[in-house]
Amino acid sequence: MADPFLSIEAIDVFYGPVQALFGVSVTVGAGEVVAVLGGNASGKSTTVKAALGLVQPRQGRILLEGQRIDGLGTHQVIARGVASIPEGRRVFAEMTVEENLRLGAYARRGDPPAALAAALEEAFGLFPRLAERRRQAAGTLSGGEQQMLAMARAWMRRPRLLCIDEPSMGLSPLFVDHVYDVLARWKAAGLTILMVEQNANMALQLADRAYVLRNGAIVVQGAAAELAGDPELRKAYLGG
Amino acid sequence: MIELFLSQLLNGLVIGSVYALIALGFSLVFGVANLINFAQGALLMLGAFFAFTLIQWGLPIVVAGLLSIAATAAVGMLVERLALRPLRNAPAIAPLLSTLALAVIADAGAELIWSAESQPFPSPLQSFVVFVGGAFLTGVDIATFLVALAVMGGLMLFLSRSWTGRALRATAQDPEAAAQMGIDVALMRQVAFGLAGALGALAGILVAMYYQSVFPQMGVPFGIKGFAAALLGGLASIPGAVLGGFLLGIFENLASGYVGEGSRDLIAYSLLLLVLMVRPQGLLGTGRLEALGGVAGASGAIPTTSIIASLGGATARTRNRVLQPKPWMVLAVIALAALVPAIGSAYVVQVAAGCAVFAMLALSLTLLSGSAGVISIGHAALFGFGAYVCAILARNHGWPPAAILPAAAFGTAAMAALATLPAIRLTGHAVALATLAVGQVGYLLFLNWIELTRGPMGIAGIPRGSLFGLSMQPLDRQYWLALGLLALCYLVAHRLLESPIGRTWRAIREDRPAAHAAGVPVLRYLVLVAATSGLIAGLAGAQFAWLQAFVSPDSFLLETSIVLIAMVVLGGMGNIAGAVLAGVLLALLPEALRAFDEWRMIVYGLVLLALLRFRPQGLGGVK
Amino acid sequence: MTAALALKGVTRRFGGLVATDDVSFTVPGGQLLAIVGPNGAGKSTLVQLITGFVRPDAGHIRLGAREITRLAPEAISALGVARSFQTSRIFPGLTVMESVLVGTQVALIGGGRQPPAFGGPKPPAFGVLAEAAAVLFGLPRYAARRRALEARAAATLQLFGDRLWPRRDQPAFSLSYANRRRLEIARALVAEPDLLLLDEPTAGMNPTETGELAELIAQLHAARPALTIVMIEHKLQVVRQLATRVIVMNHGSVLVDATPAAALADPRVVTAYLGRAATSHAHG
Repeated sequence: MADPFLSIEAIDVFYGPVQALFGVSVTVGAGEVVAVLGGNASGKSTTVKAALGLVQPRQGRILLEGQRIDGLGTHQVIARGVASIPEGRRVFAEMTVEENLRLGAYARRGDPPAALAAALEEAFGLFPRLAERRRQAAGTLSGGEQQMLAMARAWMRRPRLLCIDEPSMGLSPLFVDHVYDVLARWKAAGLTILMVEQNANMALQLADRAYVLRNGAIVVQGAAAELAGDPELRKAYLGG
Repeated sequence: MIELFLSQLLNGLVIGSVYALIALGFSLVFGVANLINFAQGALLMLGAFFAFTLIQWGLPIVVAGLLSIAATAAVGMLVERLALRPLRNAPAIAPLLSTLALAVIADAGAELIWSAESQPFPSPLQSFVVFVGGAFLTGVDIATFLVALAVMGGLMLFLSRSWTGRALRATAQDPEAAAQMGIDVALMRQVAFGLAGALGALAGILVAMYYQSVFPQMGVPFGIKGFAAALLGGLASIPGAVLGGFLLGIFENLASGYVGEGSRDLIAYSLLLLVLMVRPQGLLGTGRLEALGGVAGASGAIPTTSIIASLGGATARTRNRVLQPKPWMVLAVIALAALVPAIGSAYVVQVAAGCAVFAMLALSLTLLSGSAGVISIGHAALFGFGAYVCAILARNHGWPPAAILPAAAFGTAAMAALATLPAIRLTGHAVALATLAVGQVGYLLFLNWIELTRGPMGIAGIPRGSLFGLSMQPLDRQYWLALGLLALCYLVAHRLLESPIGRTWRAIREDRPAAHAAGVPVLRYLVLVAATSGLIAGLAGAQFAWLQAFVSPDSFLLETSIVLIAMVVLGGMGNIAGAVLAGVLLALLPEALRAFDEWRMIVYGLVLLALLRFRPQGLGGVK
Repeated sequence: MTAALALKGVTRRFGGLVATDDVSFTVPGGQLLAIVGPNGAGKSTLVQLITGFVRPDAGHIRLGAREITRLAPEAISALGVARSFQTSRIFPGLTVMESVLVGTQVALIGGGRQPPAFGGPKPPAFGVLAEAAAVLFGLPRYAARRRALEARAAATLQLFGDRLWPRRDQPAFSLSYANRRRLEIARALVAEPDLLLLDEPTAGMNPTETGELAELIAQLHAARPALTIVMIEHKLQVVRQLATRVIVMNHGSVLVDATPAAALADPRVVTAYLGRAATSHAHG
């Protein structure tokens, strides 16, 4: 296998005195969709946070296109072509939908204004519901709409790697379908995706490969199609 | 009548526009850095002085103003570098106290460089007058109002239209999400401080033109009013800051027009306290202020609301060795200290007695701020209350010490319980603001309630009376009384701290929501700790009045409160033995620096700054 | 008989998000109810609502015959409701023993109700000044009550075998993650509550630790038949082992309310957790 696009190599992460990750290694090839699965407090979110520079590993290294990015600040990681859809959406509640989208393009602020205006219209085309609410404060949107906004905001970045933390959390089935439809389209367009998901069945349908975490360590990994039937997966979610 | 109203309304709009500028700087920093920047007033003062010096060098006022704004913006960024950035893993309260220390250093530094006296500031437009109905406006009024409006408008445009402006707002709302948009959050903090400096300088220049003078103490009142305005509007809200500024300006001017000029500041601070009590989120704000616990709040590895705990969990604590002598050891040291009159001169005894008073004050404050985590920047007012109770009862009513001691102790305890009420629903930085206002209200009452306090002249010739048939006139006996009171207060504090009461105080400090969930009647214990702290401060105040035989408002300035905080931090927050030690050490400092008295506050500021950065657990360790 | 806990039409919104949507259920005394559901289903909000940390936009919450909808957290606690937090909150700067003793403070000063387990009539309360005086002058009645409660705290710590008791004088922040969760439960238990709310008590614990804690909760449930326990739990085998009833929440509403066997066999539950089953083996 060629050099992976993103390579997380044997990282240990601590929160104060508490160790959250134990030698976790995850790779994402260019154009690949990789899911990190696991139950609550399994360390799956911490894994993607480490990739984004939101937490720093104490041991191990993280490479993006062969270059080390551990130790970099989050804004520096984003500057290298990464976008993030954070856990719990984290839209800027007091700002309008349009302002949120413009912030998504912050890393592209050097681009010509016309290109950004076009990107904005494309985003509204992708999520027509947002277009209707472009002047509305993001905090007044419903949960599903906020997830749309978080996705559109990341899309404004035009990323080469997209990190997603629990895109289906708290969403009704209709919205989960919508989220995964969009993700499938992005995958088809060749976007590289690292996703953390509670909704394992949906994630495994979309992903090429997956890792299952339990208590901060990887217990199973492999092709998504094979993992779907693995009893370890069920155990990781429901305990055992 | 309508002329007075109109005139005060117009004046209110003018001064309110200046308050709005200060409030904006304050709101920007609070929003982005979650910090109440106590150096905001100092930035205002420095901006005015920079412009003053440049004008003296012969530059035109507009050029001098612009250069001063740029220079003060740089100073603002320096504040971020010194008070915020290096303290990421320091206790939650460290950045706030650091901005306080920097403000102290700046104020004292300005006195050294430019002299403590007020100096005339040129105001070229003063002679230009416009009549509006029966009221009139000077050119300065109009210029101030227009410049402030233009800057506010420009700032609004910047915040809503520019990449940096939107990034600033995003950082204020959710720094972690902002970072995931590619925003350099640390840079945004720096930008916010720079803007706060620029806005502060502009406000300072306008204030200097308005009053046609500059003086080093101008920062404190305008800083507090800027805070009050921002709080009134809703702390992190930008439109709120503007609204709050205008409302405060108008309200204050109407009050001074109808009640009297002396009431102007008193009314502004009382309004601040009222807002804190009734609607702490402000007029346009959200619940953000109440959500401000210690930094860790509900997130982090180990949740805590403690102002002593550090951001990353408990790093400051792991290095923490606690000095905990047995009470008899402390009593033995106090007994040894009783021998000082046998070996020292009257000067030495006087200094030693002063040390005992400050040891009591440090002890008193460490209970409130260290053990219970209610940070107080107004403790000097309680000290002063005790001192004035003693002075008035002894001099005007001839009370003996045996009656004055309980009166000062319990009177101040009741006052402390009452004065702490506005702060009690608040947590973290907001408490500091409320206590600062309480302290200033106290000071202003000492200064302005002339029938009772004789105002700035003070009360002299306080008789020491006699205790148990023994004349307390000799200095040695005063010293022994001070030691006796210190020993008594130490024992009381020790007993309370080692009991379930002290445990409950610390539990409330460590995690207030969890204390509520565990059924602890939090209000009851906060009132008790305030009262205990007040009781000791009241005794210290009475002792101080006898020792000096004179009290005046000058002893109870904000400076005194800050010195007390420095003592508490030096001793190790919540550590009573450490507090006593630190009280003695820092009370000796001015004696050691007698030849450089003007450097005294700078040294206190530097000590506090260095401690917070390099040894936040103090000498004794936090408990 | 009145239910120990009753919710009726409880709704809470945060901005545009509905955290709990018209939730109604009753819990009879002595029941061990497990609330399950995926992240964001509104389970923790439910605990926040019952304990007074969050107030509902609509609906009523009753504790026995008493309406507690708008009471403050400490008032609800004094009525016999104890809880743990999702992120365990343990007074990090206090020692382990002190942290548990905080849970006895209200009993020490005679506030709140008298737990039946304490036996006898409710002792007279200490007012704030009376307590200060009792401490300063060493009043025997206060000291005796203090010693009795310290013994009770020691016994509570010992419930956790050698996990907490040998560490009683260590600062709470130095405990491991699992021990911090235990400590929080100990603090809740020491108050002898009538209603115990546990928010994900086994989160982040390994299988051995999970088993140990489940065993402890089972013992409690057996030893204190009057104690009503409501726990939010993700590990379904813990739920299966302990609960007498399961409520499954999804999108802020009650999805299933049944016995553990029936609830956990319900395909909607597995779907709520793992997402809609794309493959048949996800059932079972």
